[in-house]
Amino acid sequence: MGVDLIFRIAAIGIIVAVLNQVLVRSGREDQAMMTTLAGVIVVLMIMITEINNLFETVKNVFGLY
Amino acid sequence: MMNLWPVIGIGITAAVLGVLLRQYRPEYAVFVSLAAGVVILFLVCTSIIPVVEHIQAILDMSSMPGEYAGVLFKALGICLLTQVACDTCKDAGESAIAAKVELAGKVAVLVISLPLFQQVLAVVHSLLV
Repeated sequence: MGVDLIFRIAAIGIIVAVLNQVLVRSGREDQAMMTTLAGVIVVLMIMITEINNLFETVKNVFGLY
Repeated sequence: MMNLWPVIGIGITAAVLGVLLRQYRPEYAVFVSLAAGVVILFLVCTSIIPVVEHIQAILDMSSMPGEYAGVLFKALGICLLTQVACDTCKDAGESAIAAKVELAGKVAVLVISLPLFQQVLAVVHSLLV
């Protein structure tokens, strides 16, 4: 939690962008698309846990039940 | 004093990373801004706890029933969560979805505050009749 999360997501984004470039240059467009999709899903899973965390905190602080 | 410097650092870092990522993979820029928003709101929520407790104590000292303050804080929480979702949709360029999310938040706040409207109307009724 904290700024690590942002760095992690940005790192995943940069790695996926590089992988995408390499795969596209070597003529494997379908695998490049799969890599992009996998990266998006990984980041989405990270974000879902964090958003759940935030929602629970807001619920507890503001008494939403 | 709330932890202001981490919020500033996280905001600027996320903005720079978002601009960097937008050239290559625009979908990750949305994720970075969403993550920054979640982290900053988390920090804000942890430092707003004493404020909420103070307001609760002040309202307890007055003769107002506690449910009014509960409705107030619930509405505030709903507004915060709706704003997060709405701003993320707007950043992603989906202003139509953002408007719908906003509408849902308004309806939720209205549903929460309807009992208070009813009580106000009951007071008016008792004054008039």
